[in-house]
Amino acid sequence: MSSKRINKELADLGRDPPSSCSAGPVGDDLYHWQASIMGPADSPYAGGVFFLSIHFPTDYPFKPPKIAFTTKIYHPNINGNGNICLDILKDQWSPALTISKVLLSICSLLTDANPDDPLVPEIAHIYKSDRAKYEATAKEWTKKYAV
Amino acid sequence: MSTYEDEHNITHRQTTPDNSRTHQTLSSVINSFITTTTNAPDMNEIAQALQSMEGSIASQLVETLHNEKKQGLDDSYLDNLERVNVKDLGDDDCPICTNKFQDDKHPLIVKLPCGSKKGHIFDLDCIGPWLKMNSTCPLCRFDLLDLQKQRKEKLDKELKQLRDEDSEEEEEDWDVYG
Repeated sequence: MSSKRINKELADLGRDPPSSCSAGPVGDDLYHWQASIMGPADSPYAGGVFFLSIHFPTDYPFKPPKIAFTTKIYHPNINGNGNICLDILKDQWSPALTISKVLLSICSLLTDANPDDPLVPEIAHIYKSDRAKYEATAKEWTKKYAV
Repeated sequence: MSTYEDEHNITHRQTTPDNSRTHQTLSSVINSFITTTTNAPDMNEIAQALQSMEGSIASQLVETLHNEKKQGLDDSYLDNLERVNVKDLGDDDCPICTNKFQDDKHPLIVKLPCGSKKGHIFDLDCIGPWLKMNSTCPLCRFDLLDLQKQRKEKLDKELKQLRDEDSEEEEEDWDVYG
Protein backbone atom coordinates (compact mmCIF):
# COMPACT_ATOMS: atom_id res chain seq x y z
CA MET A 1 0.00 0.00 0.00
CA SER A 2 2.80 2.43 0.92
CA SER A 3 4.29 2.74 -2.58
CA LYS A 4 0.85 3.21 -4.14
CA ARG A 5 -0.03 5.96 -1.72
CA ILE A 6 3.40 7.67 -2.13
CA ASN A 7 2.98 7.59 -5.93
CA LYS A 8 -0.49 9.08 -5.56
CA GLU A 9 0.87 11.89 -3.38
CA LEU A 10 3.59 12.56 -5.92
CA ALA A 11 0.98 12.82 -8.70
CA ASP A 12 -1.21 15.09 -6.57
CA LEU A 13 1.77 17.34 -5.78
CA GLY A 14 2.50 17.64 -9.49
CA ARG A 15 -1.14 18.38 -10.35
CA ASP A 16 -1.84 20.82 -7.54
CA PRO A 17 1.43 21.99 -5.97
CA PRO A 18 1.09 23.84 -2.65
CA SER A 19 2.29 27.42 -2.72
CA SER A 20 5.78 27.98 -1.32
CA CYS A 21 6.59 24.24 -1.03
CA SER A 22 7.85 21.54 -3.36
CA ALA A 23 8.74 17.89 -2.89
CA GLY A 24 9.81 14.87 -4.89
CA PRO A 25 11.95 11.72 -4.84
CA VAL A 26 15.74 11.85 -4.79
CA GLY A 27 16.86 9.59 -7.64
CA ASP A 28 15.09 6.25 -8.07
CA ASP A 29 14.20 5.67 -4.43
CA LEU A 30 10.49 6.38 -4.01
CA TYR A 31 10.90 6.25 -0.20
CA HIS A 32 13.49 9.03 -0.04
CA TRP A 33 12.36 12.52 -1.04
CA GLN A 34 13.73 16.01 -0.90
CA ALA A 35 11.50 18.98 -0.18
CA SER A 36 11.94 22.72 -0.19
CA ILE A 37 10.10 25.42 1.71
CA MET A 38 10.23 29.15 0.96
CA GLY A 39 10.64 31.20 4.12
CA PRO A 40 7.21 32.73 4.89
CA ALA A 41 6.98 36.45 4.03
CA ASP A 42 5.84 37.42 7.54
CA SER A 43 8.75 35.67 9.26
CA PRO A 44 12.48 36.31 9.74
CA TYR A 45 13.05 33.43 7.29
CA ALA A 46 11.62 35.45 4.36
CA GLY A 47 13.77 35.30 1.25
CA GLY A 48 15.35 31.99 2.22
CA VAL A 49 14.84 28.58 0.63
CA PHE A 50 15.06 25.71 3.12
CA PHE A 51 15.69 22.14 2.05
CA LEU A 52 14.41 19.10 3.91
CA SER A 53 14.92 15.36 3.60
CA ILE A 54 11.93 13.04 3.79
CA HIS A 55 12.16 9.31 4.52
CA PHE A 56 8.99 7.26 4.26
CA PRO A 57 8.69 4.18 6.49
CA THR A 58 7.64 0.98 4.71
CA ASP A 59 4.36 1.03 6.66
CA TYR A 60 3.52 4.57 5.53
CA PRO A 61 0.89 6.09 5.98
CA PHE A 62 0.32 4.17 9.22
CA LYS A 63 3.61 5.55 10.56
CA PRO A 64 4.76 9.16 10.07
CA PRO A 65 7.46 10.10 7.55
CA LYS A 66 10.83 11.15 8.99
CA ILE A 67 11.41 14.77 8.01
CA ALA A 68 14.46 16.90 8.82
CA PHE A 69 15.88 20.23 7.65
CA THR A 70 19.12 19.90 5.68
CA THR A 71 19.52 23.69 5.58
CA LYS A 72 20.69 25.26 8.83
CA ILE A 73 17.94 27.28 10.49
CA TYR A 74 17.67 29.30 13.72
CA HIS A 75 14.37 28.22 15.29
CA PRO A 76 13.29 27.13 18.82
CA ASN A 77 11.69 23.91 17.50
CA ILE A 78 14.43 22.87 15.04
CA ASN A 79 17.81 21.69 16.31
CA GLY A 80 21.30 21.65 14.86
CA ASN A 81 20.71 18.28 13.20
CA GLY A 82 17.63 19.66 11.47
CA ASN A 83 15.27 17.59 13.59
CA ILE A 84 11.85 19.15 13.90
CA CYS A 85 9.76 19.11 17.08
CA LEU A 86 6.26 18.88 15.62
CA ASP A 87 3.49 16.79 17.20
CA ILE A 88 2.02 15.59 13.89
CA LEU A 89 5.40 14.03 13.03
CA LYS A 90 5.25 12.05 16.28
CA ASP A 91 2.32 11.01 18.47
CA GLN A 92 -0.24 13.16 16.67
CA TRP A 93 0.41 11.59 13.26
CA SER A 94 -2.68 10.53 11.32
CA PRO A 95 -2.79 8.38 8.16
CA ALA A 96 -5.08 11.04 6.66
CA LEU A 97 -2.15 13.50 6.66
CA THR A 98 -0.09 13.93 3.51
CA ILE A 99 3.36 15.35 2.77
CA SER A 100 1.66 18.44 1.35
CA LYS A 101 -0.24 19.01 4.62
CA VAL A 102 2.84 18.32 6.74
CA LEU A 103 4.94 20.81 4.72
CA LEU A 104 2.24 23.44 5.22
CA SER A 105 2.36 22.72 8.97
CA ILE A 106 6.13 23.20 8.93
CA CYS A 107 5.59 26.53 7.10
CA SER A 108 3.25 27.70 9.83
CA LEU A 109 5.75 26.53 12.46
CA LEU A 110 8.27 28.90 10.83
CA THR A 111 5.82 31.78 11.17
CA ASP A 112 4.62 30.84 14.66
CA ALA A 113 7.26 29.06 16.71
CA ASN A 114 6.24 27.11 19.77
CA PRO A 115 8.69 28.27 22.49
CA ASP A 116 6.79 26.43 25.22
CA ASP A 117 7.75 23.05 23.74
CA PRO A 118 11.29 23.82 22.57
CA LEU A 119 13.87 21.53 21.02
CA VAL A 120 16.56 24.18 21.54
CA PRO A 121 15.90 25.77 24.97
CA GLU A 122 18.47 28.55 24.44
CA ILE A 123 16.71 29.82 21.31
CA ALA A 124 13.33 29.47 23.04
CA HIS A 125 14.61 31.57 25.93
CA ILE A 126 15.80 34.35 23.59
CA TYR A 127 12.52 34.09 21.61
CA LYS A 128 10.57 34.72 24.81
CA SER A 129 12.83 37.28 26.49
CA ASP A 130 14.31 39.27 23.57
CA ARG A 131 12.18 38.83 20.45
CA ALA A 132 14.17 41.42 18.49
CA LYS A 133 17.41 39.54 19.11
CA TYR A 134 15.79 36.26 18.02
CA GLU A 135 14.51 37.83 14.79
CA ALA A 136 17.87 39.41 14.03
CA THR A 137 19.73 36.10 14.51
CA ALA A 138 17.13 34.17 12.49
CA LYS A 139 17.44 36.72 9.65
CA GLU A 140 21.23 36.53 9.81
CA TRP A 141 21.20 32.71 9.61
CA THR A 142 18.69 32.83 6.74
CA LYS A 143 20.99 35.17 4.80
CA LYS A 144 24.03 33.05 5.60
CA TYR A 145 22.66 29.55 4.92
CA ALA A 146 19.42 29.79 2.94
CA VAL A 147 19.88 32.45 0.28
CA MET B 1 40.52 -26.08 86.39
CA SER B 2 37.91 -28.46 85.02
CA THR B 3 35.24 -27.17 82.85
CA TYR B 4 31.51 -27.43 83.35
CA GLU B 5 31.35 -30.28 80.79
CA ASP B 6 34.06 -32.30 82.63
CA GLU B 7 32.43 -31.94 86.00
CA HIS B 8 29.06 -33.06 84.68
CA ASN B 9 30.50 -35.79 82.43
CA ILE B 10 29.17 -34.24 79.20
CA THR B 11 30.93 -34.60 75.87
CA HIS B 12 32.06 -31.21 74.81
CA ARG B 13 30.47 -29.89 71.61
CA GLN B 14 32.15 -26.89 70.16
CA THR B 15 29.24 -25.81 68.07
CA THR B 16 25.91 -27.36 67.27
CA PRO B 17 26.04 -29.14 63.89
CA ASP B 18 22.92 -27.34 62.71
CA ASN B 19 24.38 -23.93 63.39
CA SER B 20 27.65 -24.73 61.71
CA ARG B 21 25.86 -26.03 58.62
CA THR B 22 23.84 -22.85 58.32
CA HIS B 23 26.97 -20.81 58.85
CA GLN B 24 28.89 -22.77 56.23
CA THR B 25 26.11 -22.59 53.73
CA LEU B 26 25.77 -18.87 54.14
CA SER B 27 29.48 -18.22 53.83
CA SER B 28 29.79 -20.56 50.88
CA VAL B 29 26.97 -18.73 49.18
CA ILE B 30 28.68 -15.42 49.76
CA ASN B 31 31.99 -16.90 48.61
CA SER B 32 30.51 -18.34 45.45
CA PHE B 33 28.77 -15.04 44.79
CA ILE B 34 32.03 -13.15 45.10
CA THR B 35 33.93 -15.62 42.90
CA THR B 36 31.25 -15.71 40.21
CA THR B 37 31.03 -11.93 40.17
CA THR B 38 34.75 -11.65 39.63
CA ASN B 39 34.68 -14.37 36.97
CA ALA B 40 31.65 -12.88 35.20
CA PRO B 41 32.22 -10.51 32.25
CA ASP B 42 33.34 -7.07 33.31
CA MET B 43 30.38 -4.74 33.85
CA ASN B 44 32.39 -1.94 32.28
CA GLU B 45 32.72 -4.00 29.11
CA ILE B 46 28.93 -4.40 28.93
CA ALA B 47 28.42 -0.70 29.52
CA GLN B 48 30.94 0.09 26.81
CA ALA B 49 29.22 -2.29 24.40
CA LEU B 50 25.89 -0.62 25.12
CA GLN B 51 27.40 2.81 24.62
CA SER B 52 28.95 1.85 21.31
CA MET B 53 25.54 0.82 19.96
CA GLU B 54 24.12 3.21 17.38
CA GLY B 55 21.78 5.94 18.57
CA SER B 56 19.19 4.56 16.18
CA ILE B 57 18.78 1.49 18.39
CA ALA B 58 18.09 3.70 21.37
CA SER B 59 15.57 5.75 19.41
CA GLN B 60 13.92 2.56 18.17
CA LEU B 61 13.63 1.41 21.75
CA VAL B 62 12.03 4.70 22.73
CA GLU B 63 9.67 4.36 19.78
CA THR B 64 8.74 0.82 20.78
CA LEU B 65 8.10 1.88 24.36
CA HIS B 66 6.07 4.78 23.06
CA ASN B 67 3.97 2.49 20.85
CA GLU B 68 3.31 0.14 23.72
CA LYS B 69 1.50 2.95 25.47
CA LYS B 70 -0.90 3.22 22.56
CA GLN B 71 -3.81 0.84 22.55
CA GLY B 72 -5.73 -0.28 19.54
CA LEU B 73 -9.04 -2.01 18.93
CA ASP B 74 -9.60 -5.70 18.24
CA ASP B 75 -10.97 -7.60 15.24
CA SER B 76 -14.46 -7.88 16.68
CA TYR B 77 -14.64 -4.09 16.97
CA LEU B 78 -13.67 -3.78 13.30
CA ASP B 79 -16.25 -6.43 12.30
CA ASN B 80 -19.00 -4.52 14.07
CA LEU B 81 -18.31 -1.13 12.48
CA GLU B 82 -21.23 0.38 10.57
CA ARG B 83 -21.05 -0.58 6.88
CA VAL B 84 -21.72 1.99 4.18
CA ASN B 85 -23.12 1.21 0.75
CA VAL B 86 -20.96 2.63 -2.02
CA LYS B 87 -24.16 3.66 -3.88
CA ASP B 88 -24.90 6.14 -1.09
CA LEU B 89 -21.55 7.84 -1.58
CA GLY B 90 -20.77 10.47 -4.15
CA ASP B 91 -17.34 11.22 -5.51
CA ASP B 92 -15.65 10.79 -2.12
CA ASP B 93 -12.30 9.14 -1.62
CA CYS B 94 -10.82 7.18 1.28
CA PRO B 95 -8.73 9.60 3.37
CA ILE B 96 -6.07 6.93 3.91
CA CYS B 97 -5.37 5.46 0.46
CA THR B 98 -6.81 8.61 -1.21
CA ASN B 99 -8.50 6.45 -3.89
CA LYS B 100 -12.13 7.02 -4.88
CA PHE B 101 -14.56 4.58 -3.25
CA GLN B 102 -16.32 4.23 -6.61
CA ASP B 103 -13.10 3.01 -8.27
CA ASP B 104 -13.02 -0.12 -6.11
CA LYS B 105 -14.90 -3.03 -7.72
CA HIS B 106 -15.65 -4.73 -4.40
CA PRO B 107 -15.56 -1.94 -1.84
CA LEU B 108 -15.95 -2.62 1.88
CA ILE B 109 -16.62 0.76 3.42
CA VAL B 110 -17.13 1.55 7.11
CA LYS B 111 -18.22 4.59 9.09
CA LEU B 112 -16.59 5.38 12.44
CA PRO B 113 -18.85 6.25 15.40
CA CYS B 114 -16.88 9.43 16.06
CA GLY B 115 -19.95 11.65 16.04
CA SER B 116 -19.21 13.72 12.94
CA LYS B 117 -22.36 14.80 11.10
CA LYS B 118 -21.55 13.33 7.70
CA GLY B 119 -19.58 10.49 9.22
CA HIS B 120 -15.92 9.72 8.76
CA ILE B 121 -15.81 6.98 6.16
CA PHE B 122 -12.90 4.71 5.22
CA ASP B 123 -12.09 1.53 3.33
CA LEU B 124 -12.14 -1.24 5.93
CA ASP B 125 -8.79 -2.44 4.54
CA CYS B 126 -7.31 1.00 5.20
CA ILE B 127 -8.76 1.82 8.62
CA GLY B 128 -8.21 -1.75 9.91
CA PRO B 129 -4.41 -1.66 10.31
CA TRP B 130 -4.63 1.84 11.85
CA LEU B 131 -7.27 0.96 14.44
CA LYS B 132 -5.39 -2.17 15.48
CA MET B 133 -2.55 0.06 16.68
CA ASN B 134 -4.42 3.29 17.50
CA SER B 135 -7.89 4.07 18.76
CA THR B 136 -8.39 7.50 17.19
CA CYS B 137 -10.28 8.60 14.09
CA PRO B 138 -7.65 9.73 11.53
CA LEU B 139 -9.78 12.74 10.61
CA CYS B 140 -10.92 14.17 13.96
CA ARG B 141 -8.71 12.29 16.51
CA PHE B 142 -11.85 11.24 18.40
CA ASP B 143 -10.88 8.40 20.72
CA LEU B 144 -13.05 5.37 19.91
CA LEU B 145 -11.66 3.41 22.85
CA ASP B 146 -12.91 6.12 25.22
CA LEU B 147 -16.35 5.87 23.65
CA GLN B 148 -16.29 2.09 23.99
CA LYS B 149 -15.29 2.40 27.65
CA GLN B 150 -18.02 4.96 28.31
CA ARG B 151 -20.62 2.73 26.67
CA LYS B 152 -19.43 -0.27 28.66
CA GLU B 153 -19.52 1.68 31.92
CA LYS B 154 -23.04 2.90 31.13
CA LEU B 155 -24.15 -0.65 30.30
CA ASP B 156 -22.55 -2.03 33.48
CA LYS B 157 -24.29 0.68 35.51
CA GLU B 158 -27.65 -0.15 33.97
CA LEU B 159 -27.10 -3.86 34.53
CA LYS B 160 -26.14 -3.24 38.13
CA GLN B 161 -29.25 -1.13 38.63
CA LEU B 162 -31.42 -3.90 37.21
CA ARG B 163 -29.71 -6.45 39.43
CA ASP B 164 -30.20 -4.25 42.49
CA GLU B 165 -33.87 -3.90 41.68
CA ASP B 166 -34.14 -7.67 41.31
CA SER B 167 -32.53 -8.30 44.68
CA GLU B 168 -34.83 -5.73 46.31
CA GLU B 169 -37.78 -7.61 44.91
CA GLU B 170 -36.36 -10.84 46.31
CA GLU B 171 -36.03 -9.25 49.72
CA GLU B 172 -39.65 -8.16 49.53
CA ASP B 173 -40.57 -11.73 48.66
CA TRP B 174 -38.77 -12.87 51.78
CA ASP B 175 -40.84 -10.48 53.85
CA VAL B 176 -44.01 -11.96 52.44
CA TYR B 177 -43.11 -15.60 52.84
CA GLY B 178 -40.71 -15.39 55.77
